[in-house]
Amino acid sequence: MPLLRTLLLTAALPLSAAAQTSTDWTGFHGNLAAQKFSPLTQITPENVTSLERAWELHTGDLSLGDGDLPKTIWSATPIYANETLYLGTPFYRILAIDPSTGEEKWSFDTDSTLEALTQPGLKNRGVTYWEAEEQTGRICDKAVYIGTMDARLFAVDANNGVPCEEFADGGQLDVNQWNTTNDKWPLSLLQPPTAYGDQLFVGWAGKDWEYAEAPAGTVFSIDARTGELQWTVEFIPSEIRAKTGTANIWTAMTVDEERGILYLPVSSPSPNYWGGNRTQDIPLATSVTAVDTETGEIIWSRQLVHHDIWDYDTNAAPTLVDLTVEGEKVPALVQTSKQGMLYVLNRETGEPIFDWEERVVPASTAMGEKASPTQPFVTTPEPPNASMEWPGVWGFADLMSFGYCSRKAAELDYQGLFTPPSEQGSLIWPGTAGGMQWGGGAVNPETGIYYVNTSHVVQILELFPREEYDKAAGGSANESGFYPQTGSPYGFELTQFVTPTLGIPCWKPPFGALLAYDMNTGEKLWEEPFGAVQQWGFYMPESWGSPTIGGPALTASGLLFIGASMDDRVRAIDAETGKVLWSDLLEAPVVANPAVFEHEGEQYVVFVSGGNTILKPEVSDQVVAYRLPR
Amino acid sequence: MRITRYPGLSAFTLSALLALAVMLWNYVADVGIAGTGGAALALFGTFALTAAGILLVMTRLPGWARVTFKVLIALGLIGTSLAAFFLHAWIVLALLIVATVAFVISLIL
Repeated sequence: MPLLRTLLLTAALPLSAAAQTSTDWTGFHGNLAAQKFSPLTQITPENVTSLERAWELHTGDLSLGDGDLPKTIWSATPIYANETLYLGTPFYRILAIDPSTGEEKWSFDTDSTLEALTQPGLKNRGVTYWEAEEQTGRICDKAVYIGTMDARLFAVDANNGVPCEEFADGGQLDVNQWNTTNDKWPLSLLQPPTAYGDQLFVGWAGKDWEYAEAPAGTVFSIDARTGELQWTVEFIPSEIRAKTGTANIWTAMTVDEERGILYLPVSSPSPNYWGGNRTQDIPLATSVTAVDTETGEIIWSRQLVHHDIWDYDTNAAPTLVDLTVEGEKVPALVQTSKQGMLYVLNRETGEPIFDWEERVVPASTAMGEKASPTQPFVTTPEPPNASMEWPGVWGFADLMSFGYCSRKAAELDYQGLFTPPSEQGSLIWPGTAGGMQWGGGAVNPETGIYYVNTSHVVQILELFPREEYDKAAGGSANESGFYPQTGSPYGFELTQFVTPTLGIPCWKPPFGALLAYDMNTGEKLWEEPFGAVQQWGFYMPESWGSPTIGGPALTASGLLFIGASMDDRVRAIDAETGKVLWSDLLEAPVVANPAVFEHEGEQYVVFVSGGNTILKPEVSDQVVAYRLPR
Repeated sequence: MRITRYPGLSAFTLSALLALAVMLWNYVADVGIAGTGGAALALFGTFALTAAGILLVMTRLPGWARVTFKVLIALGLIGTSLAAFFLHAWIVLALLIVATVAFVISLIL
């Protein structure tokens, strides 16, 4: 019956971007509610072991960073819509792929500059697919969009890759025209825009570790057909916009289609680790903020970190789900965070559904700094990072480093979560590469069971007064190394807390976990170490887990598909128990969510194996599609 | 024929040689460990085991040198097997287990 089912679905397809069939995978997180949930049931816990590669391709858009080009860091989720699989590459090309064979239908090259203008590599998180609410029969009634590092947004026809002439300047919009305050770098469009109705919501990325004064965070709503600016939301108060910046949205966004509300995960202000230039309240920074999709007016905002001096960007689109809490239906959202807490809010009001308290946190000793005296804490759901205390020195690492770990831990300032950066050197738990990253969590909308992967990463942050920094500064990498924070009295060095020679983590494993929660009650259902750490090619025991970047996709049949770990594996997990049922080895870590969809009656799971230097140096341009044997 | 004179050592050498060949392929092409320091270490280990085996089978060495080489082979087998285990290089590990059995036989015979 697959053909009949496909025909029925096609006939029922309304002419609306918001009403794509749910067996498609039309956005970065599957649907606009960021649930990463597929209703498909063809692949089950019983037959997943027979899953096989349907096809594999290499895009060719790969740089190892050893030539003229910066390294590629590819975190794309493939988009399945219009009977086609769409990919964006870190060379800023769009590929349209036949989902059953992996053959290229067409490609489009933006001819963008391949320079790391704002990031430590060439980054891309894919493309946006849009269908006009009113199909006119003209070119670009269905369109695909890709952004570039140099702040241009391209629109092409989804059927053939021809530029949309009606869109801005011949199919190309210069978003940097709106970069008007502290325009020290371009508004890099690495995360694809969010399409809703006939609107595109555009956020951008920058480098908030480089300068104190930086572009102030904005989200633009533009007309998907013409590129015309409809409204802008700004997150830094106008009176201090010149002396600070960012609080931008560099990750995906969520839309409540029923209520017409756009949810924005807002990042921290600049610079990352010193806030003496921004001691006034910036209530929208490091928040989840709800705005009216029609006007851009703010409906509510909830700050997750006050006066953020830890780079705890809200870094993933919140997941929308309707819960039953103490017998009452509650429209909720679940917001993951780098600081390791899960925030469950009423998505109409922004009010916490479970507990929420302000706790006193340590004061800062840095020059000119005024750390917030309190920070918000939630204990329900129980934070994935097990406790708010760092795991402590790992005896094995301490032994292998002849006591380095315990000596170093004793030298560092550590007063619990929200220990401020210091000249002494602060132990930061969770580190900025820890907690939960941009893959976010997945939820079954029928049951409210929520799944999320998390990293247990401890970092050391040391502030260097300007003169010392100028003498000491070495190189920088991705989320580690030296960064100047020009315009502030401090540069800083961020390092992983590992042993000097062997690079063994100084803190106790597990280094990452996968968890399930019943969000109706906030109860944790299970927690399992997830993935395996790899060093010099050696795989460590799976009971140690792995730091993860990227996230899961959930199916109605009770399977979680996820890459994310250091060991380059993709896995299918039993959603009931957390046990690994199937895995396959790819060329690099999958650092985004996979796509799960049905094409011509067959269920596919597609992973992009792009890699990210936060996890390990290896990167790739591999795409692999799985399905059951025919 | 020295090979028939030393059947255990000859089988050890052949297994080590096969492990070297597989490890070479792993180092060049195996997804997950190609080009890594660990793979290089295991490659060197299998090469050293093969070379030691050939030396013991094909040359006349004084007694103390033979004993020294056999001690080094034992250490090499342990270290290289551990490396193969942590690299998830299962074929190499299987060949090294065969080599270990052959080596033990050579000590007994």
